[in-house]
Amino acid sequence: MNKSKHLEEVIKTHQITKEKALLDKHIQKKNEVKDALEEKYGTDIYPPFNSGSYAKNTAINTKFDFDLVSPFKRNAFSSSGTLEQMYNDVYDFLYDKYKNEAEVKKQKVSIGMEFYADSDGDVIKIDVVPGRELNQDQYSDDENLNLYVYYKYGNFDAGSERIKTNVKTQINNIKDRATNEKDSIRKIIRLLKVWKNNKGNYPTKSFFLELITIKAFDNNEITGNLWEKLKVVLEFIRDNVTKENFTLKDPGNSSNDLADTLTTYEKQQLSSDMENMLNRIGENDENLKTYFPENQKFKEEVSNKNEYGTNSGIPIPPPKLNFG
Amino acid sequence: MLKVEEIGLSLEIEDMLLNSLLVEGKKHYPNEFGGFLIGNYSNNNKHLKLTDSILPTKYKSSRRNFERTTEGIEEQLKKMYYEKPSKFYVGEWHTHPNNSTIPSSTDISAIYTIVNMRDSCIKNPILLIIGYTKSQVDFGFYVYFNNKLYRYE
Amino acid sequence: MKGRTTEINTIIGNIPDVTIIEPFELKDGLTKGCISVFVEGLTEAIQFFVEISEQYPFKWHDSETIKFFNSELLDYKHIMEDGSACIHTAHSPVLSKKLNYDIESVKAWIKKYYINRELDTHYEHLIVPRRKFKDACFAYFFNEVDYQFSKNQYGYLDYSTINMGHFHKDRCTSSIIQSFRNKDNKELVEAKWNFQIKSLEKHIGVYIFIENTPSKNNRWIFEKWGDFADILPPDFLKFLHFVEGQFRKNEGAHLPLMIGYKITESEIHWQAVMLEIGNFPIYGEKVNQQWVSQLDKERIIDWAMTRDCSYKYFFGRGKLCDRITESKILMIGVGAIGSIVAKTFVRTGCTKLDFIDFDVKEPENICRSEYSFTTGLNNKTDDLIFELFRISPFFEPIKGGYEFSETFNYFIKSNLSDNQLKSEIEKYLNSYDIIIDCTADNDLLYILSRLNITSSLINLSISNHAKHLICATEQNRYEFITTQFNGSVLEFDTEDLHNPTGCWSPTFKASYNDINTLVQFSIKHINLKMGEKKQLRNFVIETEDQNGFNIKLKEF
Repeated sequence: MNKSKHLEEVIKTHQITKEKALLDKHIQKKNEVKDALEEKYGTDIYPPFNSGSYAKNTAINTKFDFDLVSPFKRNAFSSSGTLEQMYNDVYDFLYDKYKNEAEVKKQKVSIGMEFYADSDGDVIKIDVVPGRELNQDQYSDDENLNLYVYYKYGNFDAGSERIKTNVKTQINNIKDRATNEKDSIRKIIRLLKVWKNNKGNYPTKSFFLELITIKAFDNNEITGNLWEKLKVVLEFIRDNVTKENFTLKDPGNSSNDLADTLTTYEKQQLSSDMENMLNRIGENDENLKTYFPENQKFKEEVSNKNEYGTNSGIPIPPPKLNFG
Repeated sequence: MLKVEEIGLSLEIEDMLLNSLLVEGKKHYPNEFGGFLIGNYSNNNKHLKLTDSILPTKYKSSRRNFERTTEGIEEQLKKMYYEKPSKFYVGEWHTHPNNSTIPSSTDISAIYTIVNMRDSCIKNPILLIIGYTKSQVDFGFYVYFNNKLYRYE
Repeated sequence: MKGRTTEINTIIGNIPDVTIIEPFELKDGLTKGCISVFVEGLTEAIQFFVEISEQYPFKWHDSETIKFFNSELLDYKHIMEDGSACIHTAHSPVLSKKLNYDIESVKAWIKKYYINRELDTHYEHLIVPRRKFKDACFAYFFNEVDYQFSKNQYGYLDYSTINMGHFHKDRCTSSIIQSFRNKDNKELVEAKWNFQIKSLEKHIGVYIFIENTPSKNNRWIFEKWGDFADILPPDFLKFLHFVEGQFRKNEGAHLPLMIGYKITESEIHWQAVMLEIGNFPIYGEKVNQQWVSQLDKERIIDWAMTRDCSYKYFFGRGKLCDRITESKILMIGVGAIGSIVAKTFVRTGCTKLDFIDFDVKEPENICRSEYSFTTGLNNKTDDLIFELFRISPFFEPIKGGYEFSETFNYFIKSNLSDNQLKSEIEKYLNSYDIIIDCTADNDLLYILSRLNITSSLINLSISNHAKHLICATEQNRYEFITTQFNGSVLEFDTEDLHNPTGCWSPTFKASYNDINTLVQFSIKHINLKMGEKKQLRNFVIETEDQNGFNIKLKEF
């Protein structure tokens, strides 16, 4: 089995453009929500923007990350308003507006909206991330935002007043690397997302996987074919994530450490998952398919490449054969 | 034309040939019977045309078992291979008197034997099972592909 | 034999702090003597009469063949009824070594229970001599009930006989306590047994809750009814008299009396006494012109055997982790693998299990599953429920049974594009904490993998000859199992699948031993992970039999 060839197929069958219709629906819905927020909050809000994987060029078609960051002005909820008030106000607004067409729920730092399946059976998910500039009118200068932590998030406690970050820097950092090193970083990030998505409800954030991939590339000479590159990244995660001094700096705010978004146990689990995966693939190439499956929905196109196998020379039947 | 949609491969066989296999099979009722399937692939190797069958000269059969050997058919295989267009061994057929066209475990293991032969003769052998009763006939065409047996529809 | 007696005297004489008071001699087949043993902390040495049987230094019928008696020690812990110290010592086939070990144990006993008067951390039941009642033994099983008894509360109880067997050479009738009623025969509380046990024919008994232990020294249970004289209240004796009259026509029949008392602040124990109708240990006496029931004080109490079968004792010697045993479990497919899993679960403390399978048990299924021959052709679900009822009194199938299986299959394999139906099925399945699929049915696997199931879903399957067990626990179960089984990952031959005569669905070949080895291994692994609250990962158990049998776990 050619492992790199398989991985290329995995990426190909997970290309976001393959789900054009679903992607368009997401973009349309995202714009709708954006308009609704702008209409509701008027001059208290800067234009909301998408920060999900689509914006970062690392999306896969089995899970669309559409994170709509909504930057509020410092005094939007009065000069003494708290981040919690901001978070709840946005939640109340979205809940009232969409309760009949979506499930609206509070998440770690965002408000999740899962729209009920449409007539095609498609489900659209959009997360709204409310953030607030640090000082009145400062956002246009530094693009820094404070986020509200709704419930325990790795080592961040629930109700923490803030995670200060610069989402635009986050996006650009990853987008630049992913675009410039598309044959390596972008592909590996997409593969890791396929793996994570395949695991179900995995605690590691996509953002974490993006940063750790970049860190692995910065720390190692990564060459060779796609499988060889992936392998180095997997080994890097296995060997480093549980180290005591391991950090993943948020490019939007270097004092934020993404390593803190996982608990000690979750880090151990991530490391041992990497170890098991490397061992199983080492024992048998075919196991690669278990961790990185092709998107069956788009496999048919690939099946066009199937053909009856031939060998040179006269095919000879087995001398003696039994049928039942 | 028969197709396996999932893997995009197809197959054709003339009614005349198919009927002659049924006639040969029924001669051995209530025992099973079968033989070798001969044919060739299209230029893009996506389509198989079954052209002939070679009947075994030495075999054992009972109601639930059929064992054929290749004794005495080697010359015919060679001759067909050098014909223009070339025709060659692509699989096996046999009957299931008073039964369905579902492959038995013995049939499946026979397919494994073909693909696992040292000088693997063909990569995607065809299995044709003719299930028949006095009043009904059903033909089941299967191909071994990527470790699985697919049925043509 | 004389040489042996001399040897014993010499060895014991040489053991420090031990003095021979009466030298050992051979009497009635036993070597007997008297010694005194001193341990630091004693004011004077303690004397023991020692009896050594012929089998010594080996055990006989699982008990020690040396005994150290001192009837003055009866009130101390770990002294048997005959006044011998209960010692547990090491094995040695060498006489001198064994004697040294045993005396060492006697010293340990003295230190622990005589000098330090240590109390064991666990409760020790009163010693009840096993007696026959009219040539047979009787045993009563009870379990914890949700009811607070008050001191001197008495009334009727229901019991059912579960079996008549033998205790060694004696006939032995075992019964369970079903429910307690008040003295006006109104039901107070039912015991928590499974449905089948609850539906057994009921008989009547009586009880009284006396609160305090029926013992003078917390070691030995009362011997004569006179010991109860100040304990049993007069209205209870009157009640006994009334009950005896009520059943007068059954004269000679037995009637159990359960005497309840606290063994800890929150726990009570019941001890059964056998009464004979027409011969209750009471008599009437005229006091102040009135007939009063009195206890027959000199009568020996016919204690019967009693066993506390509450959940914590029934599974006291070993169970799976709470996360499994407290779960509501659905098992789909109860063939070879499924029935072994089910039986293991029930034996290890699970109580809420449902089954889905619409196969009928055939004679050829029995050799490698948990079914029995004598129930003949029978729906697997019904048959298994019956088997499991026999094992655990706490096993309670919620649904199960054949009809439930049919309905389930109809729903799950109907059109899943019907979103309403799909979400109903999901809702139903998610009402279970754990779902175990042992069907090896790829259609079902596919459907389950497409449903949004929040329960822990575990698929178990085995390859031919039980070379491997494949266990899927993650969302990618469908891809995982099909990749494992498509022949290119696991190397196993499908060459000789078992092909039963005239049947076109081949099954894999493997014995009960082959399958059970793998199933138990996998349950052990799952239990470990769940017990540690860790995430379950897909895994494969590989076996190797080239160089002896080896098992390897591969987690994915």
